[in-house]
Amino acid sequence: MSVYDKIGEFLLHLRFKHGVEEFSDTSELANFLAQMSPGEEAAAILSLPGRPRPFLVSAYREGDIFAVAIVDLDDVRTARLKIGLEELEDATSRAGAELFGDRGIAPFFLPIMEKEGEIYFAMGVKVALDVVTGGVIDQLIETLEWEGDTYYERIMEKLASEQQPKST
Amino acid sequence: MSAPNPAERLKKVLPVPYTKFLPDILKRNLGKWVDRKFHGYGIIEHISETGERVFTVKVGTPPNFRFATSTLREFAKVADELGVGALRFTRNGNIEILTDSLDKALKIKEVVEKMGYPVGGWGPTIWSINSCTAFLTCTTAVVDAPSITKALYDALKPYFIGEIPLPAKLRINVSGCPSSCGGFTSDINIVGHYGDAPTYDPDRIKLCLPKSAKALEMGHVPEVAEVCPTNAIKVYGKQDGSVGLDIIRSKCIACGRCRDVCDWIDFDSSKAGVAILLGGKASNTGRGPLPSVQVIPWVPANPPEYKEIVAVVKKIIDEWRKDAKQGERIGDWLMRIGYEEFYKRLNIPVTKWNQPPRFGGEFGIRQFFQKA
Repeated sequence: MSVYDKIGEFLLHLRFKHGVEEFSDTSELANFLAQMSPGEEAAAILSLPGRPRPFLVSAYREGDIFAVAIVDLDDVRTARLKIGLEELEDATSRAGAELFGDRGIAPFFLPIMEKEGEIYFAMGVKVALDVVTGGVIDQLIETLEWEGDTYYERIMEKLASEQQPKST
Repeated sequence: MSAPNPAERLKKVLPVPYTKFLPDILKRNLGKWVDRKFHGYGIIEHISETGERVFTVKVGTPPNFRFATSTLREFAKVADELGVGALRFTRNGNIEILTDSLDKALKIKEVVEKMGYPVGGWGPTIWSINSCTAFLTCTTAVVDAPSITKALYDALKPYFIGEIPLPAKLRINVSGCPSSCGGFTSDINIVGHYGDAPTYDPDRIKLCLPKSAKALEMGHVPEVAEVCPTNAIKVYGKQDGSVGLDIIRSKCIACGRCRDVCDWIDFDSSKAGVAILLGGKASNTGRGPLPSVQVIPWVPANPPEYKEIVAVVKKIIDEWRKDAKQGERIGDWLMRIGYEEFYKRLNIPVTKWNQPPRFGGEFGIRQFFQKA
């Protein structure tokens, strides 16, 4: 099974088993997120026209702050890593926050599958927002597209350096 | 109107109480059928313990079971006037019209034959030629399965109507591509495929590849290569920073998945043909259920008459008719004589694509009886 089959299966589950809401416009998505109550979590699929695969959005509202994660299921990458599939999101979120936290963004890798020693994952970003609008989401998507390679490279370097034995 | 929540669909209670829609004669005798008789080919009588009888007339339909609504109305009229006001479509696309006397069944046969539809099936005949829809609506079709089915039905009609008896029941499936929506587990299966690896447009293929060799270093997964089930597509970075693609023909199984994700990869349609698979069956007779086995990897598909395919199928049927014992289906016959012998008789060269299979033991429930 290819990673794209796996993503297809995952999306079917989200759509039909879990009934996750799907939007084709960032403003509609922003309205949906803005209606969340404090303490509420939500997941959504953002299927923009002209893209083979959608974005996956997960959000949590704490007080007036929205913690939002956006994953581009069209930006799938692979790497041989010493950390396992289960740890990948936490480890890369931490690395992303340390590297890019000063810009208010934490890029991370969303693990999808492991095959023949390689981990397949999709690129994503996590942010904390006090206002959620369509424009803000567009901006996040654009940033992810433009900076994806930089995020990938820097996070991979950081993971590699963390896995080096420390000199005494 | 807002769309229903997809999760709500799962709460539906199925199945519906279908018995309430049955005609009265079937409702009265449900679960009480005790015997059956054949009246020639295509007419079967079912006898209930209540003494009531139902006669079913099996009618062959056009390939892929395509009907105009006006034709369906004609069939409905026959079922109303001569039958019990009911007809059904079988999973292989025949129409079965039900009635309550042999006279009426024979009359139905006469009327539908005048309409141009053959009555046949059951017993040692062709029961059906099943076909997928192919180009009518399908995006992955390689050959036009319904027109192959039409050519086969024209040539094999005597075997359907019982004019020429066969050693046993015969089912034929025709599928336009290896997805095999027409089925591939019957006695004879015809499956369309491209016959060779695809090629690509050298200028435009870059639209389906990562932008640069650097992007490959950044871990991007090229979809055209990733979807290939046999790793026959290699995407690599070149020294000049561009990205190259190789299709390894010896590994390619021509499934078309790369073409599905990239508009600039395609097959040479002049090499399209069909594979012939034989011997599949689910029944417990003979050696029990058997999978179908590819015996001829490629036969050209030349419309509109598909002479080569028709000739191959007729040759297989002729050889089976000549040699099989009564009741011996193609799979059982092949297992008895051996695939090597079959290849020898039909002068089929043996390659890595049609190696004689080795089945360990027998399938089906009889093995448990034998042990007991």
